[in-house]
Amino acid sequence: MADMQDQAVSGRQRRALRTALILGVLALAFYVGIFLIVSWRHP
Amino acid sequence: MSTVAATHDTHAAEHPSGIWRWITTTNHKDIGTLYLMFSLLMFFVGGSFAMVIRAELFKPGMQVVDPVTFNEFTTLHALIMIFGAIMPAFVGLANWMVPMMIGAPVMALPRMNNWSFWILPFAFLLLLGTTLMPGGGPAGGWTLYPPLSLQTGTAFPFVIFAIHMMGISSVMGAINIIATILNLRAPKMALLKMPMFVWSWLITAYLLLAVMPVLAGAVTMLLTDKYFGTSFFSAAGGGDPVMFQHIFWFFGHPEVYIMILPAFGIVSEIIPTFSRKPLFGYESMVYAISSIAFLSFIVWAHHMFTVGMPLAGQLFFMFTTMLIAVPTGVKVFNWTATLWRGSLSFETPMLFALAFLFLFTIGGFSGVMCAIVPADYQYQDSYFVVAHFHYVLVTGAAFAIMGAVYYWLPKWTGHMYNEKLGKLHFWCSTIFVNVLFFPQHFLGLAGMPRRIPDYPVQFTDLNMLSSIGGFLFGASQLIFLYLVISTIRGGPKAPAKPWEGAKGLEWHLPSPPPYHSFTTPPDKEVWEHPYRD
Repeated sequence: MADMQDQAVSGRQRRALRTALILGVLALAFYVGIFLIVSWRHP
Repeated sequence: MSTVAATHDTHAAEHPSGIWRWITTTNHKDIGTLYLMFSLLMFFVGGSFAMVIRAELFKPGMQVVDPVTFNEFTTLHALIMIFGAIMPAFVGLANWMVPMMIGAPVMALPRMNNWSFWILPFAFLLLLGTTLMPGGGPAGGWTLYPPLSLQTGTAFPFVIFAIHMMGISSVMGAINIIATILNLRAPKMALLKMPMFVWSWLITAYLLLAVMPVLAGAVTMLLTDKYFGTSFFSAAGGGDPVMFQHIFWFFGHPEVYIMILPAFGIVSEIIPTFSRKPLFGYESMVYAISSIAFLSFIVWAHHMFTVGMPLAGQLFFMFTTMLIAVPTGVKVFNWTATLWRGSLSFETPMLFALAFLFLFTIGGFSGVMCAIVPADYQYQDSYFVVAHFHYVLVTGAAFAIMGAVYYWLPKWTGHMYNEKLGKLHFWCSTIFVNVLFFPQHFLGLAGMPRRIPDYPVQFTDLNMLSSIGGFLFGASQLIFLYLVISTIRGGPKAPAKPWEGAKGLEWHLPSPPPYHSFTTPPDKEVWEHPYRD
């Protein structure tokens, strides 16, 4: 029982890390994206 | 309740003590406390800038500071209150309450949580330190419009760096909150079963994630324009200063909702508790917050009507702005319907929530007035706008934060606060905040521009009245400071659920809660409470 619970917790932590990674990449993409938009608007 | 309390561990004994505990902590409650304490400090620092501003505006002529210092103080007041007081207060509340409300033991990324807090004190030391640099601190307004902001002296790169640090802190905080809510909810707790405060923060965190990098990009471009020869916003080099305004407000308008959506969540927790009724229209509240968040991305140019734009642009931004009144109205009517025929009691948190309901709505209405293009030509850059956004941010966001502190302080500290002093703080704040900001509507309509240290004599009476309200409002906050400190230090013992009508999962834990909230996820019977009708 305790083993199953540990597995569930580590599974949730892995999923949380994956979520954070995706969101971090998204934030970086927005940062770069704003440079691209301004450069496109005024080459 | 006892079954939940029995599942707590005793890890409290394992963490370091003294200052080292606070520096190295990865505990969501400790980090929540750090955020809230930092926010309280910044509230008084930003407030003291406001006191100087009101002292200068007490009568016409120059009496307290020179115009450059006045401009520095208006700029720093805004930056500190927005990024140092309001936002960290909400992040602190999220850190404390979100894990407890969803039945999680910790935040999903505890080390990153520690980092995202500890960046902040350095960012604000840097920002405040710029006032001592040659040429002074930033004085071009918190909007940092070029070319004016590019005239800042040595302080400029430090201000930009401080803003980057605040942005990184906010983005890390947002990622943590989203990762926690999406992955660490109690088993079977569907999204539409979450408390409204958690919902409001989930949506706010997405807003933060989307717009803080945009602000960071815009200020990086300012930096390269000043020091590396680019001309993103320099007309002389083929760039466009108005482009900065578009980018800034693409960040700036969602930022306004970042500062008010968690307040909506707080009020949605407090009103049902003291009405002893479920929140009216739970799902419509969730959809209303989502709609407001979506609309916040397509209204930004209403801040720039007088800059000049095609008629189609003016109409688009006018109508989308007015559309926001629909979901906001849904929320106001739902709170009112929750109150309707409720068994009401008026403890301090409820008083702040009710004041929010009335006074935030005044700010909302003056916002709709500003959305009307031809009328906005009159209001733009006047004290009417100052009155509008202070009703939204002080009687809206700050009042909700104070209400939340009174609501959850017994849970955090294990002590009840002094209800009489709490009510005194409420009435002083509510009366004086109106004396402070209501006259500013008339000053604006009469033509007084914002961001000026001196003014024609016909504006004297209302400015004096406003300043008196300001000093008294500022003094009233000392009651709040005393109450918070005295409740932390002692007071009557608070039960696990000090409010009879409270329903959330956090009230199933003892007061104060154990170091780790839920090491075993709570059962459905424990967290399923009647949020719906």
